[in-house]
Amino acid sequence: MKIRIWLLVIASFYIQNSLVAQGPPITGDKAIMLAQGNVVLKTLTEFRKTDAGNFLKIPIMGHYILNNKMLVGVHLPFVNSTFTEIGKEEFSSFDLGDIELLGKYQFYRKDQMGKTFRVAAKTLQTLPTGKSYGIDGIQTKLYQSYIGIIAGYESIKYGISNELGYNIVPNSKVLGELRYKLGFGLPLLKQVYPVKQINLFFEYDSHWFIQADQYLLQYAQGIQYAIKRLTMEAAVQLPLIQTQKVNRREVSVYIGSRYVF
Amino acid sequence: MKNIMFILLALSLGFTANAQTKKDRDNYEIQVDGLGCAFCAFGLEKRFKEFKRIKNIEIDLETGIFTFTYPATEPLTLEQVSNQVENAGYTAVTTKISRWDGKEESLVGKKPDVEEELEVIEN
Repeated sequence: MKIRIWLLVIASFYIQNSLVAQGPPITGDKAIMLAQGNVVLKTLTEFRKTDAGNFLKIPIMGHYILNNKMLVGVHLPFVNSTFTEIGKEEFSSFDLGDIELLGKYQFYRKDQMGKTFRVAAKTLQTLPTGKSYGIDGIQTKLYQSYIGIIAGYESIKYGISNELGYNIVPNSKVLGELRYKLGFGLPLLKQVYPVKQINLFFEYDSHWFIQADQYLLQYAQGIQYAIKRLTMEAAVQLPLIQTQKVNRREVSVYIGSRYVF
Repeated sequence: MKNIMFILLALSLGFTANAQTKKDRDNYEIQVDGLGCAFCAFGLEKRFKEFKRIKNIEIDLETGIFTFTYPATEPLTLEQVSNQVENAGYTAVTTKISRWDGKEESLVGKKPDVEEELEVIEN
């Protein structure tokens, strides 16, 4: 009974505050670019626990907005890997991970008062600069080329982000995958400008490794605090479905921040 | 006594100068579509700060009303303002300028680059 009451309190809190804006998704991506010349420095540290071991990925990401439709970026990850497989000696290393180059181009925009719908093409080129540990999304030492489309709707009431794309890995017979991300953002504070927000995010992340015929669906619950040019965020991601036999995920925890110059 | 007179004179000159400063600025009001988040408003403000002498910037996210003032000695045109909104990645629905001398100008149109959709009204 008490749980029901709390759920009602939380639900009413959402409803009361559902007329305000929210920030960018945490584990997903967005189609809206800021103004030309903006530089965004961000990091989103991921701690991932799997049946093969624990991994800590600390990326330093820099995004530059070329104009109101184009963005380029570079992601420089540092990875601490600790393999703890049963029957094997524990092994740990700290290395530079696979560097990523990002490009986005917004090709559709529909604006209305207090809301916008945008669609952007995205590419992410992963360079084989890390170790060949074969941990997807952490480090693989494999060249990867991702091409996708992001569609995002943002209003002063809520935000929805979608991303669909395919990741080509020429030198792997298992890591090529179709990705789909779906995220919902809800604000907890009344909107003000300059920015001062607390937002909740509900994000789904699915990976279909087509060649290996394996599937992974994850859910992330996130919270974000933004004040002026600084945003801080955290999320916990849990696997809902996973058919992989190895490197099965148990939990991922994300902590990050971003600053707009 | 001379000192008091001097202070009063200086103060009155200061007030006059201040009043003159306010009087010499044009007021701009733009209805902007697409401001779905406060971060969007940040992008808009940053783009307009390219106009170096811009002041009194205010953005209301619920109504999309964006206001600022700019020196009348370097007046911005309706097209300049509307195009700057477009350059920031948003849509200017209406642009109004209240000049310091009481004259008003307005521009209605979502796509400033399309001539036939523009309607410039000068009072």
